[in-house]
Amino acid sequence: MVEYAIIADKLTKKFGDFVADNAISLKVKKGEIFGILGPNGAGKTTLISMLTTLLKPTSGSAKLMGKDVIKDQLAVRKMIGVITEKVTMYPPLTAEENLMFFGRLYGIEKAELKKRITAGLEEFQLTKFRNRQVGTFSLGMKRRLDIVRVLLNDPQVFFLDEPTVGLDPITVAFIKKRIKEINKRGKTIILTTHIMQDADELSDRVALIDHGNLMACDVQSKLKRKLGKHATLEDVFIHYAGEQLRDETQKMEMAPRRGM
Amino acid sequence: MIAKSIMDAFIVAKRDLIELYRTPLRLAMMFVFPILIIMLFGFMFPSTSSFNGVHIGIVNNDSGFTLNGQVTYLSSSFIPLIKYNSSISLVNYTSLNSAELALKDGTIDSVVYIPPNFSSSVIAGKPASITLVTNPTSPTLQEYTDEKVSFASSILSAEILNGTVAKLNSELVNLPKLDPQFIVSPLVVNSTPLIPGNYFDFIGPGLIMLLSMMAGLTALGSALSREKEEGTITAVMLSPIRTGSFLSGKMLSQLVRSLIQAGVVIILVILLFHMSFRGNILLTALILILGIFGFLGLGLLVTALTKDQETSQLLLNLVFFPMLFLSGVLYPLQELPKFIADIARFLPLTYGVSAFRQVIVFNASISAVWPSLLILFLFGAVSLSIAVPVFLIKKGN
Repeated sequence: MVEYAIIADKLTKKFGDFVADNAISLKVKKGEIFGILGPNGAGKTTLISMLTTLLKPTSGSAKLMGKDVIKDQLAVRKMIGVITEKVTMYPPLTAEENLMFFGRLYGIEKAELKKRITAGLEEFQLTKFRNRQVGTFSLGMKRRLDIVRVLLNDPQVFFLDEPTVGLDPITVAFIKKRIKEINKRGKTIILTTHIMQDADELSDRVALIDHGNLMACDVQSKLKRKLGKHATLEDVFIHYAGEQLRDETQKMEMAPRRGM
Repeated sequence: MIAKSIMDAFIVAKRDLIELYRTPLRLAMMFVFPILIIMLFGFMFPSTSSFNGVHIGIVNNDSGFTLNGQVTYLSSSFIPLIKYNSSISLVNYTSLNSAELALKDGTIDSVVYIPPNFSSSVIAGKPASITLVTNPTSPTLQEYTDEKVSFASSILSAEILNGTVAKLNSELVNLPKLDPQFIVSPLVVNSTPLIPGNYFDFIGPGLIMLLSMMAGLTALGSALSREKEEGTITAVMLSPIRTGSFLSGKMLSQLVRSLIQAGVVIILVILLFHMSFRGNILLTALILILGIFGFLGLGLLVTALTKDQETSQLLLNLVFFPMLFLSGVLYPLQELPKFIADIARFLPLTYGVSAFRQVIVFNASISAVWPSLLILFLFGAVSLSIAVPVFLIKKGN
């Protein structure tokens, strides 16, 4: 029997008259890497925000590892690790202070936390920067530290929003390798990215969202086969999203972040 | 669950304080800014004894009086008295018209006109008049020159009176001798301050309380805006922390830093400006805490209702400036027109400032200031009970 990490049932989010996500239903299997693709303003961020308890759906429901994302927010948060496009560390604090702060919020005991921090920094080659202020870090270092942060709590489901954007190829390769390793430990990974190559390489299945609707959801090979023998994931993306530029994206992307 | 919530609040507060410690400029400004404000206001609204660069025009038409063939001018005794114990400069003019022109173009600040019959009137036993022409656009300067000329006039009057009474006493036989002071004023008022003090005793506590209010108003707003801009609030909200614990932690760190700020500022104002401090330290801290608490809700409400820090700052100015000018920070409520004073009685800062001043300057006890403290507490509790749900609704949208 297939076990699901995420079950979303007709998840809908409206901002006034604007429908950011329209009755999206999907299931993500435990231990898979699931890519969510779509043009800017398609509704990806809103969907992730609802699944991670940041936004309350207008209607519909969702369960993460069996816990309701609306009714059992704290339990859901204990099981997820979220990397957003923007690095979420306090620049004046050192790497260790940042990790201690977030780790303590997860209720991890100080001694245990110190051990995990040491191991995490070692794994991501940041040990010698342990006591340096994060404000002095390069983007690649910050991104690596961000991953150490979400690993502290040993979450079951990872949400990675554009984890490799703006990084040099060496760091990108390093992070992709780590994502695969994390997945091998049995963790579920939800990946949103505009880099089709990354999505294709890393994901077991992908979902394509546009204008708040779920346009397709399947393994990449099946989606590509429908378009022809030599079709790429980018062809699939353009097939569903079209070639029209999205000038309204800023308005649509900003909408879910109101009030936060 | 409650223990976790409390612990989370402490973790958030500790992080905020570490961040403050790691930001030297913000840390320095915490102390420099209040001292600068107190210095500016303290010296800007001084007693009238510290005016500098005041010029008074003198039009001396006194023709004097002749005694034993010698012409004597009383004005020559009067004029130096105007300058007594001050840095006033006297400028001579030949006519009232030319002096008034100089007053209009700002060369001088007022004009003293001494008429031709000044000395002769006094000798004839009649009151002599001096005319003081002032600049009505500067009330404090007007008051200052009026005070100086009146002082000179009272000294000369006393001398004239002494001479007159001495002459009179020598002619009184078998009657009690007259005291010149009795003739000037049979009733004497002795004005004694309850305790020694200076203007900083008034403005110091007022401004320190105002700073607490500002801390309360802007604490959550600026902290949350910074977290929004850096994206860290998302990471915090994605961890298993209750929004209430997060907000409590922010408030707690603000209370701690404001208390440290107030403590350092009070010590500096005592050392630099000799402000009195006679109050109980615990009661002083309690008023400061309530002063901050009283405005946290209002600050949070404004933050929740506005999209960015700039807009919230504009809205907060609407709160800040009326409080600054109407709450008895810079001048007593008795100086305000009645209807404005009535409005001031609805401003919570009025009660905070009044209680703080009473405790710091007069060592008032809690029994004397509890009504003010209750008002601050109630204002804070009511505004927070409105602001927190609004913030949560906005966050969930």
